[in-house]
Amino acid sequence: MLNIEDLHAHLEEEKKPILKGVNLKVHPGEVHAIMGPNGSGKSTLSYIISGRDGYEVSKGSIVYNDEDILDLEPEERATKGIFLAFQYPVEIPGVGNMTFLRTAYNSLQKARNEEEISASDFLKLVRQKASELNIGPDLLKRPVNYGFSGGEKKRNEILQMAVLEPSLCVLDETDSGLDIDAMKQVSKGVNALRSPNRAIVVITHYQRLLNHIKPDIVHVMVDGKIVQSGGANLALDIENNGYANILNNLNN
Amino acid sequence: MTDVVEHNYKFPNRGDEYWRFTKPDQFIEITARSTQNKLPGLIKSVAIKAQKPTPARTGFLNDVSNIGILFQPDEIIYCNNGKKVGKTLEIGHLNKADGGASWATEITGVISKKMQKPIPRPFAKYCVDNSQNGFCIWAKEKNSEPVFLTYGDGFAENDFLLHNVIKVSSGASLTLVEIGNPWTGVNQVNEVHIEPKGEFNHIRLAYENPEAKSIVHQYAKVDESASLKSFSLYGNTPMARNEHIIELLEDNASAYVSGIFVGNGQVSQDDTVFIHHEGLNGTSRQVFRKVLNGGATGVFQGKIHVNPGAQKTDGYQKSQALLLDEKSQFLVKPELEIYADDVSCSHGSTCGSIDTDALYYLRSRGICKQEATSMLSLGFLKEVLEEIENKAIAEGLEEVLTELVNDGI
Repeated sequence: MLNIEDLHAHLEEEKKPILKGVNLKVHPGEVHAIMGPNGSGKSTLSYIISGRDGYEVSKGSIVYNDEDILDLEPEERATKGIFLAFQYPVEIPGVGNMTFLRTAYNSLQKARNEEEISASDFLKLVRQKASELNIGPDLLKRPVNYGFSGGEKKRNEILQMAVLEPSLCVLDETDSGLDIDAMKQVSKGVNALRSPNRAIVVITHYQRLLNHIKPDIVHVMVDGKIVQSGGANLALDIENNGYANILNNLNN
Repeated sequence: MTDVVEHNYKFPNRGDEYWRFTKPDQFIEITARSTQNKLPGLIKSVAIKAQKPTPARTGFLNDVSNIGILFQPDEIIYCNNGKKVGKTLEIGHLNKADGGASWATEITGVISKKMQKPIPRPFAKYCVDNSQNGFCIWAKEKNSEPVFLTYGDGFAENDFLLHNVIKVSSGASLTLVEIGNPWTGVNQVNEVHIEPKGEFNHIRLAYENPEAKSIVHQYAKVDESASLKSFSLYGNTPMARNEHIIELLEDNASAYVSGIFVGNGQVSQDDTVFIHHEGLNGTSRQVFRKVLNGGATGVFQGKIHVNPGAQKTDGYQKSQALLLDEKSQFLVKPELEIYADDVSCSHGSTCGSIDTDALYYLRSRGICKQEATSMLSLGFLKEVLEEIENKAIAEGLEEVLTELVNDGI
């Protein structure tokens, strides 16, 4: 489904490399976790997958469902089924959450030559998904993420994911800023989306999220590269010993 | 216009203090052409029609009120579904040849003349001295139903001087919506007197005709505990100046003025607002937002003037613009002139491009760049609609604004 090969990237404004040869293969149905110390390039990788402006790929490729997506606009990637749950969801005063969700939903429908959904049908759909995530109707009426608590913002990300039903979900530090109950709720929402046709990539600092969202494969990213991959036990190892062992091995 | 007239009225030039951002030349041309366009001062007919006029994009107003008036250059047509305007309201033509409505004489030319100081406004003076045209409305009691006044096709493709007079009696209320800008050009003056505890809510919708140039002055005298709220929506007007000159002479008076401009291309819109506080506990609020693209120009000049006796004044002023390209510009001159020592006044002005994080966020959900830009622009503008007193009108205008933004940006 997703095949990243030897990806090198830097900020357009600075020549300093951030990604220095990332290789990653994700198949449908898999859940991958990417862990790594601060500044290792995890978030940058997620931005580049989703097509954020401001980054330049100097080498390598990202192929998604047999198509090189690096030249595609963010909205084109979204219509092909790529979704990024933001680490810091953006507050947009003046744009209603419901209007935003429906516009996004209908944009995807239109791009796929499918019929747009009526306001009433959409309301039913969203209400059902929202109640599963414990999102009250008041949150749907308010402007997008505006004045939401940290937990509400993250749940709103998962709600969008549940409504838009992407085939590749990238979750960028979805656990940051969440208390244990909120993390359980968010994880429940993510687990409900696990399916043989969908892949999930979870970016996190901590193993605790992975207690709730069980990964098939864990990667460790250090200094712009994936330096080690393994099963769920790798995350436990990191939790117990930190990144020191891995860094020492690298230095040797 | 003859040199004599120009000399007598001393029309402004680019060097004048409040004409640095908007060229006065085109308004001089409109004023000159409109002078040759004198119309008979008599009302030809007053008819009752079953249907109200509904210019494009104002259909929503049908659900809000039954009182519609079609104003043509030489007649006024009531279109209130067969009902005559009640005893709470008197509407007529400001027929100067005939002496006009007797109640209007105490206002006509009086309010604007006084407010020609300290800053003279020659265009307004010329209009008041020479206009043969206009309506007068007197709200005698509380009017819960808004009055929609539509400028008809008779005004199309010509230049006009238009002089309207509005009076709101003590304790009375009126919501007046001025609809349409069919003319090529207009030099307009509204003289408004709101007596103690009166309420006047005013809305101007000027987005129908992309060719119309206009200079509009609204002079308002707001008495004790009376209130004025005025909102304007301009869309893609090639050259528009919207002036408010407001006096809060007595205690506890309030004035809220607000406006939206959506501009794309070689268009320009200017809001120039002067609010004079003289009474105690006065409140004033100025809220303007503009979205500018394709080299459009937005202007805001706003002044809160607080006299020495106007203690406990609460004045607020905010002007903001969203620039969607590098050619567009927002020119502002916010001013506070305060001579009292116990007041609370603030002003702020911001100008920026679209929030790239927000744009990316929307696009990452599949919304194309164009639509995402429209959504963010609309989100920015529509907060100003909260300034409108009548919520049904504000709601209807949100749809109009959505169309304007989608078409215009």
